[in-house]
Amino acid sequence: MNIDTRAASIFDATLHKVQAEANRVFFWVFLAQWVFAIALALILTPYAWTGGTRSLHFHVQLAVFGGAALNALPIALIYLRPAWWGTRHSVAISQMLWSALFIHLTGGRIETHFHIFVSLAFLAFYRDPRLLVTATLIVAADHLTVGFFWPESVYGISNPEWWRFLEHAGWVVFEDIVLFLGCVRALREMHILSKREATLDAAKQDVERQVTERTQDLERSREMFRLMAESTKAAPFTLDLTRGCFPYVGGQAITGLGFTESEWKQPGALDVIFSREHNSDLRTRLDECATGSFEFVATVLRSDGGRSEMRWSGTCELLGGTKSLRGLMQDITELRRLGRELTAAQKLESVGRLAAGVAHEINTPVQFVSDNVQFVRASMTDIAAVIAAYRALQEAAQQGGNVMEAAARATQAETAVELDYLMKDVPLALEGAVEGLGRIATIVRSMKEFAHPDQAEKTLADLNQAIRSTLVIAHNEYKYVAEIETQFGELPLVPCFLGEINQVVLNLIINAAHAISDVIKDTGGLGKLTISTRFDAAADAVEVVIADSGSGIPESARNRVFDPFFTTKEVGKGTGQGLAIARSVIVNKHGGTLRFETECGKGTAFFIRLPMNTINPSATRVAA
Amino acid sequence: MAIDGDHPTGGTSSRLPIAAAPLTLSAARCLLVAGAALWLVGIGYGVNQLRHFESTPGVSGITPDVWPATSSLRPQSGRSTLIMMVHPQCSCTRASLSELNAIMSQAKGQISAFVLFIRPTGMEQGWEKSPTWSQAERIPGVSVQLDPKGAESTRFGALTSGHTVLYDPGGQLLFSGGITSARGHAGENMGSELILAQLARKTNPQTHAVFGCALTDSPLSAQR
Repeated sequence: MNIDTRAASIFDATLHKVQAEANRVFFWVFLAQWVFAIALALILTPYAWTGGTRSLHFHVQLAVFGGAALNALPIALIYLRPAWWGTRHSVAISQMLWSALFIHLTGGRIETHFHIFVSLAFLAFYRDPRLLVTATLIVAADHLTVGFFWPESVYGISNPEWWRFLEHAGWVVFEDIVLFLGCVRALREMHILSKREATLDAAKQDVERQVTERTQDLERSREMFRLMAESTKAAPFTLDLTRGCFPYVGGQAITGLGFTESEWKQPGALDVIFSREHNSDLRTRLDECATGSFEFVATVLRSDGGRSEMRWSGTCELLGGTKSLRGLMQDITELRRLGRELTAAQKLESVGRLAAGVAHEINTPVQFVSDNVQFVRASMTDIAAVIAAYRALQEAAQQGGNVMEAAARATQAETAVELDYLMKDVPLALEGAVEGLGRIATIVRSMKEFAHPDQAEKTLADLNQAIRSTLVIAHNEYKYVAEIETQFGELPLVPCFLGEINQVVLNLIINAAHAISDVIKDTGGLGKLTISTRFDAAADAVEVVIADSGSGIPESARNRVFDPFFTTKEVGKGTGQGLAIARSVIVNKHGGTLRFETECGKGTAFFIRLPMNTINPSATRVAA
Repeated sequence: MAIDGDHPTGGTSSRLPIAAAPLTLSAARCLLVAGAALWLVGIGYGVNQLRHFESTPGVSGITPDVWPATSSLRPQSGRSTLIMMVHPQCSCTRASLSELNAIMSQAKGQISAFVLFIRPTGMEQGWEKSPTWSQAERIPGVSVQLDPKGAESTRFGALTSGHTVLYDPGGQLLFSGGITSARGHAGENMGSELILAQLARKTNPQTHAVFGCALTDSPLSAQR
């Protein structure tokens, strides 16, 4: 419906309402007039007299029956056909006849003629100018008819001037003009108001339509996000920090931790699943957290008494004066377990990868230790022959035998076994064997240090020694492609998970060796692998730099090198887990940083930075 | 009673069964038109009856051209004498007295007036002291008197309330008739104008219809 049509509809409705109101007014006016007319007749003209005999005056009969007749039609139509045009005209006719009746009942008093003018004004309530015409015609018809047949009763004389009619009618027409203009103006204003209301209606409907559409969109969106949120393993939640309860929590949390929705909503629920006693440091941080984002990992209690490791992330905000956390909680117990398994697997992969090299490294000293021992064992046979010759000489001298002959045989035996050579080389062989065994022992110790068992807590470790050990077991990986240069600074003991740090260093060394290998290829030359450590007292952190002279990381790969399963190496040479695990270990488990600087064609340097001041950052990182 | 209109076409027709709607609508309309016509006819009849009632004059007797010698009243010397004979309970008397008041005001002392209130036979004393008696007494230059059994009225030929006669100072009749234009209607009327005109010119006696109640119970008076 366009605005004009709507405006017309509103105009019609308003006019009908106004006319219904006028109907209501006239209904009561008619009844009041009837009662008043009867009262008037009874007071002014109760009886007609003939001498001493009285009879009911015609005026009384007229007021009762004539008044009822006058009211009958308009009241019936007001009831039966309130909006019909004929009803309004019957009201106009009847009302003007009421004027005539009153004029007669009051003996033609001039003052009563005002009823005509008041009636016209009442009729203007209908805002229908045509009614004024009808009413005026009734007045004129009454005046003309009576004036024609009984001129003296109207004009006071039997032969009035022709214009006397116009004189009387003129005043009525004058009021008609005023009322007509009033009606027209009122209708015009109603048109304007209707147009305005239609315009407002249209605007309102448009706004309502938009609101409805937006609400539907919002509802769909909410439903979609609810489904999305509740279909993931992360449970959405709202935590009221003031009351320590969860006004809203996703179904995953209810299912996962076993608490009912009402238990989550109960004040103090936070203390049940996440007690202040076991999480005092984190609860203090929550109490103190300001508005902004947050993320932390906490171990929470399940309804079955078990515990789950949960990662909480979201926003801390003030809702209606209440401090709340809103976000997602995710059970990462399984994730953590898989992470540990992945790390262990990666370590095993490294061990497997190193096994051949380590075997080779051990094999060389074993070989020459074996040769030397063989030499010593053979030499011992010769030396035993010489010792036997000398024991014969000793016996000859003690028993008075042929000493000279025995001495000659002893000399012959020394000469035969080249005793001087043996006396010089056997100690050397034994020394070489000891050295070989020492090299083997070093490799074994390094292996043992590298394979440092996983710990639940950080321990203080000598990072320089750890790196040395790692270099030993990785020797076979780089010895053909690079020269090692180490610059170990003086370091304090660093709190860390040593086994995992060893893994990170090894991964970076192997990556560096591979990068250098790609550059030197078959040139026969060697690249350079530099490892340095230093203590940054200002930052209270230890920094380890592993730099290579490889080809550098291509621009396209720089943003993805820490992504899991991303690798630029050929198939079989890398799994794409090394740097991802390195970052996880350094950043997530130690609260440190791992970054790199690279230049194509010149090489890459990885910077490991481990803070000294955190004991267990993985469980206590709260960013506010 | 529901008198709100919320249907543009209005009426009860919209509540009628659809199948019968054309016939019923037509019948309702015919009924409506017939009713309206009947109403108009009825109203017209009523108006006509009213006009007939108000415009039908009462009976007038024969007023003597010379002041009757048997009358207890005497014409005033130097001034015309006006006598109005009224029924004290007739509602038309108010209009007649109202017009008399206007005449006395316009005559400016040229008239000496009497208003005779009739008391028919059988009516107790004081019956005539109606509000119109007081009204008459308040008119300047008017003498109010009781006319027991209508003896004086009969002498002056008055049979209908409001009948007024005017004699010149010499006792010659100048006017006889009513001074209202219809029953109980005050305002401009030929009778008043004739009286005022006779005061100035004194021509032949003038007459005018009398509108009012019958003064007596006599068949002659009640024949209207």
